Amino acid sequence: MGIGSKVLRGLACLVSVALALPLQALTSEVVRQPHIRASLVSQADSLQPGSATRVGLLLQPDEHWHVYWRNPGDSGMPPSLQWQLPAGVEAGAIEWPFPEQIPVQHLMNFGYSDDVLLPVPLAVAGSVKGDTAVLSLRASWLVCRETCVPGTAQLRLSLPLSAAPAGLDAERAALFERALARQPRPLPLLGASAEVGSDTVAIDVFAAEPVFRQAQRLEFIPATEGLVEYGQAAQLRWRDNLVQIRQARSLTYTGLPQAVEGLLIVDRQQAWRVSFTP
Amino acid sequence: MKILSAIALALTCLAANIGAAAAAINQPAPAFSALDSYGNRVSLGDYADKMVILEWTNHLCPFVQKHYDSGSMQALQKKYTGQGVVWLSVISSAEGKQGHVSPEQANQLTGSREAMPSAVLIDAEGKMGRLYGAKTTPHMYIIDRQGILRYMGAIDSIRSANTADIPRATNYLDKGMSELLAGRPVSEAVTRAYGCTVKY
Repeated sequence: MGIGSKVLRGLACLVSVALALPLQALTSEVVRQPHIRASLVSQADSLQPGSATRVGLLLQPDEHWHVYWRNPGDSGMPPSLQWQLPAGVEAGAIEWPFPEQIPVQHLMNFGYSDDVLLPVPLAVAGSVKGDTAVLSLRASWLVCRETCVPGTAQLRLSLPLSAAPAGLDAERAALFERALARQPRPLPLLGASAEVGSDTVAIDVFAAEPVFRQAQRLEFIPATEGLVEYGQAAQLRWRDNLVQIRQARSLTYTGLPQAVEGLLIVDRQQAWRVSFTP
Repeated sequence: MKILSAIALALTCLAANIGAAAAAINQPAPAFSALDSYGNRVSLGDYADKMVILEWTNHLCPFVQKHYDSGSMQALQKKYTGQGVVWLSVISSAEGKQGHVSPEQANQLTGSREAMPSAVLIDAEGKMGRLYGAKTTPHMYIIDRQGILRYMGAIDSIRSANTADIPRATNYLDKGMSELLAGRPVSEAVTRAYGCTVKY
């Protein structure tokens, strides 16, 4: 074997690295922390100045461990994101997929016990120049089983800037599709009321359409704090476009909040976001 | 039979009323009785005419560690016990669960962390925790000299496990105590506690 073949092998190696890079570059390094992996993922292959796209924080807790929804319930803490972005690139708020109910003794948490992608809209101004944009994210979370471990990761994603329409990668597209399919949709209302007794909260929701007609199972996940006692199961009755929610009053109830907000999850398939002024 | 069922009903009602005496703001604080880490029985009734602070704790919880590693919890203990306030740290972790300690371990923890509570209560059955609706560690309560519950909720306003957030946060316990000691009502009497779940 002469020197030439070594050079050739070396070149082949470089070429394969170069080929592998564009794929790698669309997901940040996967940071392994106790009981969880975290990475930053881009929906599109490139950023297009003057358009909007999405990136997402992919959290992959170990089996039996979980992270939290924006209202974590009786304990816990939602993940939080701190961005460092190039001028002209702006990140929006997390688009939270609907969560699961995670009971702990007589208490209740709301969160995710499987892999979860937290999508974030990204707006790229037309004025953004250059070949690449570097997105830096400091992500913090709390991952719990019975015990809890806070974690932080500094994630970095370098994306090409391109005038051409941004392509989608099938595997990542599936991740975003799943997260976006789990976005609660605002429920158009004919009316809604919340009445608070000494022990019980009664919430009645009249939807504009009979969206609960086929529901086999309905869950209520409160987003408003200090209204209902999460750990005491809500009694739900529904028919066509009417839902009646009866749940124990929160131990920390001090008065009707300005807005009542929560999710109604139909058969764990689709979530409606209910929001009204009581 | 009718009389018997009437008595049974009355007893049920009575039991329900006793059970319903949960902690509620601006209401008499539920009477509790628990053993401290020296084996003394401690009851709310022992502290007539004293203000009492209850602190639910679990030394292995990152949110508790945030407030002890920074020294801020000890500073509050020192500040208020120095003014004659009773500070009770309550450990409701069940046997075998995170944060459960023997009385000796509880005392060692007080020593090693230079903590200054008036007493550490061991509530391994979770009776006192459930009575007060304690959900997280930390979870704080203030009882005034008349035995009325005046604060229930978080230790401070920034829900994180990060020590660096403490100086930027409003400490609800400190604020509530300052207001009460100045003869004013507590402006934020109920907040949502944050932290680890109490390990019942």
